[in-house]
Amino acid sequence: MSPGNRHGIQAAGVSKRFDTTDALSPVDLTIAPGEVVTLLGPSGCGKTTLLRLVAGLEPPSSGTITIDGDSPDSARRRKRFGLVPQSPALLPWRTVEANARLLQDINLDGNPQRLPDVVDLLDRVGLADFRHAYPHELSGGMQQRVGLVRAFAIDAPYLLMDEPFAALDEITRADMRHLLATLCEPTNTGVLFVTHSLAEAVYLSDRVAVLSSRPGRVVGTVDVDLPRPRVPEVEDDPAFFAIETELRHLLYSGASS
Amino acid sequence: MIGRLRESASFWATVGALVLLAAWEAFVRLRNVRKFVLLPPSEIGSTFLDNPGFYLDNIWVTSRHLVVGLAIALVISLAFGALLAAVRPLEHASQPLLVLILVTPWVAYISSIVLWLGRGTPSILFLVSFVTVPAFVYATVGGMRGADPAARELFASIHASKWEVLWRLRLPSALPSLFTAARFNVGLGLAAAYFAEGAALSTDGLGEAGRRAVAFNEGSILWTTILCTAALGILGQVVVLLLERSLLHWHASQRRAAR
Repeated sequence: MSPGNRHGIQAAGVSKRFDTTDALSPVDLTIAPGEVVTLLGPSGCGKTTLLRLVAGLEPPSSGTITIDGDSPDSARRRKRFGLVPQSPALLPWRTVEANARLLQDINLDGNPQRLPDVVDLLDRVGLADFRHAYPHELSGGMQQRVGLVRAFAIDAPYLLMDEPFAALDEITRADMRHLLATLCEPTNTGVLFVTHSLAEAVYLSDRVAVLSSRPGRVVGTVDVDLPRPRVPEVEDDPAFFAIETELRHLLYSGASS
Repeated sequence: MIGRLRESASFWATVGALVLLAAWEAFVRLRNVRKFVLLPPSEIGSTFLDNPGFYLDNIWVTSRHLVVGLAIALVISLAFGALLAAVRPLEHASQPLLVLILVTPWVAYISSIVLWLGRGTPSILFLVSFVTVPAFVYATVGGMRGADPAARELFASIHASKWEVLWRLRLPSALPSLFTAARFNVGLGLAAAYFAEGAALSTDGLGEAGRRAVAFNEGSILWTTILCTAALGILGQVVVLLLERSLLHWHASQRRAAR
């Protein structure tokens, strides 16, 4: 699809109500093609719900969502999303390589004309030697790297990432965000990233939307004007701390309101 | 060498089997138990060797009844179970039927089956399949329902078809519980096959051989038939175990504890 046809993801007045609880107050959100937008918020604030609404896994109670002018359901059909769930959700009976290929193997009609080379991607995340291993033989960080490759393997224009590194230890988390930034860098991929980690939000994003606690609403949006490509050294930059601090204040103001 | 033997499971299983046979032999001989009540292993061996063709033929017939019956039950259960896993009201509605099959003794209704389906193979296969369906259905439904919810979302995020979800996610997820059910059903199916062969006026099979031995008061033939049936059951368990090892090598139950 030529960039001219791409309007990005537009969510207007989107809310979600489960039975008697409001999970999400009406939210407006846009993600331009190639832009990395992070939803930052406390646990249970509805940020995952918003991601699931965008992915068409759940219908919104109000509002509209379009993906390059298309409905979420139609976008799913045409494999416009590379989803990275919180748990790696690898299939234990498939090898690493077969897991990385999973999304390529399903809904073949939705595949792009040229699929990325999975072996090449595995090599880029340092798993070339583990192609024939099974998921239970991998560490948590390695499993989630397979999850990343699996999402990148269908060359979707949008990646939806639901706290993918939440279950990892601090050092592995840092490695993973550095890796993810490198993977995203040369592409024109739009990313919706959900996290409650300030460092992840600042390091990866072009823009961060901070959500209040339930029912979630956007209490503020912060542009991250750090140079690209992002390199780990940027985390020592005073500008990095300044944005982190700004986000923390927004987060606490949202939690107390 | 000795140390490794002490660690070996099959070594200790062999020791257990030999002790059992020795105790059995000694008990029968010392207590002078009547042939019809219990035959010592040595005499079972010699009775078998008197006419091995007879027993092997009957083992072959009964194993065919068992395998074909289980295969029919498995196919029906997979189709039925997949349907129940997808439609909850149907699952609830089918409970009375499944429980009824489980609790009703076959001894009570075998004559009706024979009257309906005729003597021999059709009635035998029907009984074997009929009684093994519930365990397979429960295993299918439970296993398919238990498929990783995150993986289900992943499949949904690219609009996987129902067929793709069934084939690539739900069926492999049901394999561990299906194997557990298979181990149980090999024993159940063998008992059903043995009983049905004796009751369905069939001309061969271990069950019919056993029935005739009882009718003609042949204690040694009866006990040799019983042990042949047990051997067939063990063989069935081994086959299931080997299949499980190769198909479920990825599952936690199949990994070595030391790892």
